[in-house]
Amino acid sequence: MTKDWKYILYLACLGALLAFLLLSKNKEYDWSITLAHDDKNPYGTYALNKLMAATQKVENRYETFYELKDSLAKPKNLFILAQHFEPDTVDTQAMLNYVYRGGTIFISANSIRGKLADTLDIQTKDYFFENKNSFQQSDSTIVHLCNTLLDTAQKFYFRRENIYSYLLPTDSLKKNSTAVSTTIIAKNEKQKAVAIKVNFGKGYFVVSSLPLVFTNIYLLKDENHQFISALLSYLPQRDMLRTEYYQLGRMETASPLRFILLNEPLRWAYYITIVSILIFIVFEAKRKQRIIPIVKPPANTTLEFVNTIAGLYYESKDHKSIALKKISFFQEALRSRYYFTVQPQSPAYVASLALKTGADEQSIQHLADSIRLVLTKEKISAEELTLLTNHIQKFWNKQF
Amino acid sequence: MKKFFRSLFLSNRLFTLLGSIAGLFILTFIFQGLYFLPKIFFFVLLAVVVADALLLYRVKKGLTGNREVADKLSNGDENEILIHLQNYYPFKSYLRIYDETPHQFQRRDVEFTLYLHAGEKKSIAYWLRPVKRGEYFFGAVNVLVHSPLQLLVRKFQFSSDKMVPVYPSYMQMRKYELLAIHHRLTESGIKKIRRIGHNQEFELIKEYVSGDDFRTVNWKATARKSKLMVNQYQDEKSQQVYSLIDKGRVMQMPFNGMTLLDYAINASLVISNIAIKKSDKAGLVTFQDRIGNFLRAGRTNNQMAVIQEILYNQKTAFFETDFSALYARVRQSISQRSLLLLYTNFESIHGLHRQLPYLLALNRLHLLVVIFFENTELHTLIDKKTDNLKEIYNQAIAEQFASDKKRIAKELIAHGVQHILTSPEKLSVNTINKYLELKARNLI
Repeated sequence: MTKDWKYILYLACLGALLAFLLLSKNKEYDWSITLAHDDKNPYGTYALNKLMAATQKVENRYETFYELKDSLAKPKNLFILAQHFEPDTVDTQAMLNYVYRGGTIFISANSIRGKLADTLDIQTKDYFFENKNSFQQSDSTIVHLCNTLLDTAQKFYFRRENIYSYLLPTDSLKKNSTAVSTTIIAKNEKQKAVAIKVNFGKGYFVVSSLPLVFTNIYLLKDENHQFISALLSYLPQRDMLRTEYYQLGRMETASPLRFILLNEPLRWAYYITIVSILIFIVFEAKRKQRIIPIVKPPANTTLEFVNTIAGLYYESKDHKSIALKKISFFQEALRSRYYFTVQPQSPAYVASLALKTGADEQSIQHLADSIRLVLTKEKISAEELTLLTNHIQKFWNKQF
Repeated sequence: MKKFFRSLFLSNRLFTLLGSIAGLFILTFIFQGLYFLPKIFFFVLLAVVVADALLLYRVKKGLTGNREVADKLSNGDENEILIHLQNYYPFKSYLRIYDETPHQFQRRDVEFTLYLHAGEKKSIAYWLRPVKRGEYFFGAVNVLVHSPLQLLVRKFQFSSDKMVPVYPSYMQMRKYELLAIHHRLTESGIKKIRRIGHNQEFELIKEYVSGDDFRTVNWKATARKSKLMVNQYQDEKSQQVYSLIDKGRVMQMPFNGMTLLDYAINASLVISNIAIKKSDKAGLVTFQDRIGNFLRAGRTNNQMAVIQEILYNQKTAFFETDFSALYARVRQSISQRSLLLLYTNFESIHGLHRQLPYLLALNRLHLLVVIFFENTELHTLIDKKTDNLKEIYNQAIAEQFASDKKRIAKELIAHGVQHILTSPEKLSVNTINKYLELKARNLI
């Protein structure tokens, strides 16, 4: 530990430097559209949530309405903000039933599709790319309220690239339908509806095509909050139930571990395994004995040296000189072991060597032949050298 | 707490049990029932772990031990290391012992396992063979103690950080010394040469045994004892025996892990000891590019200790040897005719020819024995059976190197210089033989 303090110091310095850099950097806003109630970035709805909570109880959930409807003890205002809103059939049915029996639902989405849109006869459109010269339009757009009880002349300014959806004049607006009756709440400067109230049974929907007006950046600008409060004022005095499922989905871990963690025995098994592995790492990392540095023992290089010298002979393929060496060592061995001094050229060689060593004459004859061959020839082949070596090896094998 | 954590280890059994419990949890999930069972097992296991911790740590001094090492180790020999252990736990404990040997041995596997009953004492012995002189540092003996539950492990450490010097082979020295005193050198391959010369210093009258010179029969004593008695004469005494140790490049080659220099150092220690025991004087010269140490021959009580210290402290850079410096020093400092045992090595006949004039000059005034080494590594190559052409070449060259050594020996004989050509392992024995032979022949 005492040796490591230097490294720990370096690491700490690096960490401090990193923290300093991160803190000293100018704050950057996150411009992604979350519409989340706890997001303080421009396109979050933290301000809206605060303001709503000041006047009524607001409950924030991340589930579909179908899942939520059973937990509703008393009717509440359902509040939905999303860029694209397309609930499935079951969900739609639940919403329609709820509203039919006197509930109220506030939906604000750039596009609304599916069975709900069909039933309520709502169609969302986007004028931004309808015009050919879409990029020559002014960068601001204006919306205004339509209810004559309110100030219809007041203009609310937004940026056009965010606020461009509108609701198509529906059949119910054109001719009076029995099931659905619709009132326009607000229009944009092109006189297209951007917020409507749709009665359905005992209750009603408030539908707006401009979810982004509820975001922090627009809510806090100038007098825009009046527009929002006007829209929300169409809802009755009830507690607010807001679900962000349609924009954010379920805010729970989507990892494969979700299944394991949801089942108690698997969760136990998982945590026991993880903790065991951690403990194993901590305890097995401890040394049982001290480190022994690697010290190379001095090497005996004889064999490498022999190999190098032999390599030089081998390069020149001088089989004869090697064969002569073998013969002289063989003769020397006979001399020192058996005091045998007859030269291989001598005719008495085979007979006397057989007598001296007790080896059979046949094999000695072969040996002597190959020796004499080497001695007489100018050059010998690799096979002849191998043959000579084999004969000598065989001779000594029989001797021991 | 830190101490507790440092000494605490976990056994594989614990991890196996944890794993099985995790497996049980999965099984209960698959079969949808008995959820409580693995949970019970888990908490029981936790309880048992706590119990094991109590068992191991409640007894403060659970185990004692020490490592017993000689004050100095003998180079090139197997040295016995003893580890004594005593169990103070009131239960039979299972021990795993790791000894931290000096790094020179490069041994990371000194590991033992054994059981100790309550209160039982046991010792472990193992052997270490150092091949280099110098200071060796032992680390701690680490003992991992398991209770019968074998879930947790407590580590004990003792006998840490002990320095032991490795000295030239004093074990061989003692061995041959004892043999010399008991006249049993013949048993370990040391042969006795029948003496030819005669010395007139009378020593004692002894019973005749076959082989004694019958010219020395003492007739008066024979008549008195009615057994054949002979006079025995003393060996020549107070002759000087110098070990000349070459510390040059040629002595660097290792055999069986030990350099030729260390073989030479071990042999000089043995021969010096025997010389002193035989009432001769032992001296020492070490040299490489210049003279290193010169110790005048003597046989005082202290001489052996001095020789041992000098040999222990030999350091060398393995430079090229300068025999002229050796000759000059011997000529200058050794006036009495002495036995010079020159430990060196020649790999080729040319190597010998370069130094031959100095050897002959040394031999003129003293009795010089040139000791050089067979290259035992070559035998692995020579004795190999092969059909491969490249290997036949290798073999022929190896045979040539081996026969070069014999030619060197013959060359020395031709110039009337005594020599020993020996494998490194048999150096001490062959040197003693030569010494006894030369003494017996009264050549000094």
